[in-house]
Amino acid sequence: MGQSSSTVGAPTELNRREFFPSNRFNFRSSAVVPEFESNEEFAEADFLENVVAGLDYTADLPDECLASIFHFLGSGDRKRCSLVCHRWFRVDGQSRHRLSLNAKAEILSFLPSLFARFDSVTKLALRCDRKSISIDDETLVLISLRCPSLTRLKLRGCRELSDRGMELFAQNCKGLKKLSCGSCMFGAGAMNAILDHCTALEELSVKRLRGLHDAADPIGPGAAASSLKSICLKDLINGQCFGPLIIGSKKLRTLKLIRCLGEWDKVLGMLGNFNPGLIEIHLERVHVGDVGLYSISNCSNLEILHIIKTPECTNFGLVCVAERCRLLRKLHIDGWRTNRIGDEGLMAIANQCPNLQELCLIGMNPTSLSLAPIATNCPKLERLALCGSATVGDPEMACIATKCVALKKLCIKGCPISDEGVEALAWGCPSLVKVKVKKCRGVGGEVVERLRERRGSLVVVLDACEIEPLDGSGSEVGVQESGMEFPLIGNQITDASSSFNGRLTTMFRTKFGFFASRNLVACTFRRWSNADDGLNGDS
Amino acid sequence: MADDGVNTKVEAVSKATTETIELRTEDGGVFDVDKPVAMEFLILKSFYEDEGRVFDKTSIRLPNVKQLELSKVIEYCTRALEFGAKSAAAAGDKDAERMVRQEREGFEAEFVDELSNEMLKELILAVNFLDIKEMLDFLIRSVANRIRNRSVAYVRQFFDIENDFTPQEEDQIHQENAWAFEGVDAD
Repeated sequence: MGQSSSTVGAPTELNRREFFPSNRFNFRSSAVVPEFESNEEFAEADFLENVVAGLDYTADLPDECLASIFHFLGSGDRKRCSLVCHRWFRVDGQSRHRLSLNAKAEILSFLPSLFARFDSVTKLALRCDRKSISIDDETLVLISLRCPSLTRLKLRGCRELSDRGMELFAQNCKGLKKLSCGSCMFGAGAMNAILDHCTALEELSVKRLRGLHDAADPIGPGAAASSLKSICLKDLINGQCFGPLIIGSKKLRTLKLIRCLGEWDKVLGMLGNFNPGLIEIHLERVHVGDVGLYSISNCSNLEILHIIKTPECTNFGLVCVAERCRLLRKLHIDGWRTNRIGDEGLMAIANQCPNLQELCLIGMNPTSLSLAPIATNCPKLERLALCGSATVGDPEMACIATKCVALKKLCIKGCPISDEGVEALAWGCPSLVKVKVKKCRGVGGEVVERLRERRGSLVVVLDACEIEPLDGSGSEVGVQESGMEFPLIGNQITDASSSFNGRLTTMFRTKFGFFASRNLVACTFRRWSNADDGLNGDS
Repeated sequence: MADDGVNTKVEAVSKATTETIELRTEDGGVFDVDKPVAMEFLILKSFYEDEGRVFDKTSIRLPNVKQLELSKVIEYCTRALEFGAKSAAAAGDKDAERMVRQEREGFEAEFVDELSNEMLKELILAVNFLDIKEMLDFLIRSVANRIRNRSVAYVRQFFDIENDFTPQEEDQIHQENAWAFEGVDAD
């Protein structure tokens, strides 16, 4: 019945988790019952009992109630709560399941009291900045002994950790479900140890692992291959050593390869054979071409595909995907203005993928030739974004307006549309909830006003200023569900003729700072909450 | 005070077939509560359902609940059920759903605004006892809202809590806290 307290025994022998029941529940007897007067005998129900008198209002509240209050507060507020009084300090500590620590070497002396206080941590982040010396293997092992029920670990910049330390950690925290490591120095040995011991591992995210040099051992499959659902590899020089793991993970649902050097066609070539559950693939700035896309099309259950800045992919590859992945729901393509994917590939999508819900095209030149069939043949299309397309103008807007009956969100950016194009939305797209127009020089503020007048509940955003609809219904309905991830668009027009590998090498030399010094123009759709690093998916 | 008692009696009259149950509070209040509302109190629900009793017109005494709290609880639960019904009716219609949601948010904001800190605490205790999950969540969230972004001193004063730390202990906690980052890591 709610959060009942247990009977308090002798005052001196209280357990740490003993509650402090209220004054007010003390009546004639030690067991307090509601009295049920009826013709039948009333049942005696045991409820609350004894007393510890307290001056403060919260002394009445059971620990669990107090913990529930803390649960709604952020880390900063919880810190303040821990300073209120001894009891709050204890309840906060015991109900903290998520902890993010500054993983400098000096934390070692604080660890015993920290983990005596936070004794229920299941999700831990250890972050060390670049200028400091991080915790070492010994410290990590100590932490692992204090957090045996850890389900998630995030490591950032813990450069002193080695394969050995990770192995010992893995042996102590076998229940780990998610591991995310970035900018650490260990290598294949650590990865294999994790995969061998953490047999319930579901998500693995690895970024910039410096110990994975060219001669690194192969990684996987390991015991975790039968539980792993998501693999995300970023900024790796020799990511291919994860090949056995990728191929051997039978329950794999999500695969992301981002800025990983080297050839991937061979690894992708094995996909689909052993990974029937693969439904989401992201490829970004990796060496993948039509051969790779063809291999991906083996995954007949594929629902989500992102091909971002992979200029070796052409229409041919996209057609293969369209023909064999009929369940495709979300498609993002950043053509990087190389014009290798265009109307031809998109028309195949239009004809073969009726489930399409979300389409985002960046740096490409689709025309009505493909946009019209997409609009007509994809009745579930709810979200559409077109960025940096020289071929999207008012006729294309009119086409979208008349044919996209299910469209809820539209984003047009850096396209040669004018007021007329925007105005077309006043009479079309009956399901439209939100439209964003950015960096379109031909569009002025007045047309937005007119659009607002005609469609009261539509949220219209023109460049930086969000204009709320008159009826106050401007809350972002349904934004919480999958937003769209928009990679950053550089202002620099890339030279399609320069070698891809050359470009990648340059990028690596400047530490992936290809866009670092550019004037970045970020697209405005809501990003995935963990766009940069970290893991997707639910726990 | 019989305000809600009157309301529920009026309802009982207008829907002649609606079963009600009589609840008595420790300070002498008497409330006739509609069965659907009463069944939101899991403490009552389990009494009836587990015991296999017939829901006859019995009178139940709630020694841990005062009439002011009970009337507030009945008010909230009655409205919550109404909103639930409206929500269900509006299902599929996005505009209608949004309107119901906004109406509910407005009601809840007003409801909690009127509560003093003392009353909020008393309500939590009553609702905890009666075991009404939805309302308990709502009240707890409201307390969290009241202490969010507030200083330690404010929170102590708010709940009338004495600082039982020594300066050394406080210092130690500050040092420890410094090792924990403020932001919550994304999953």
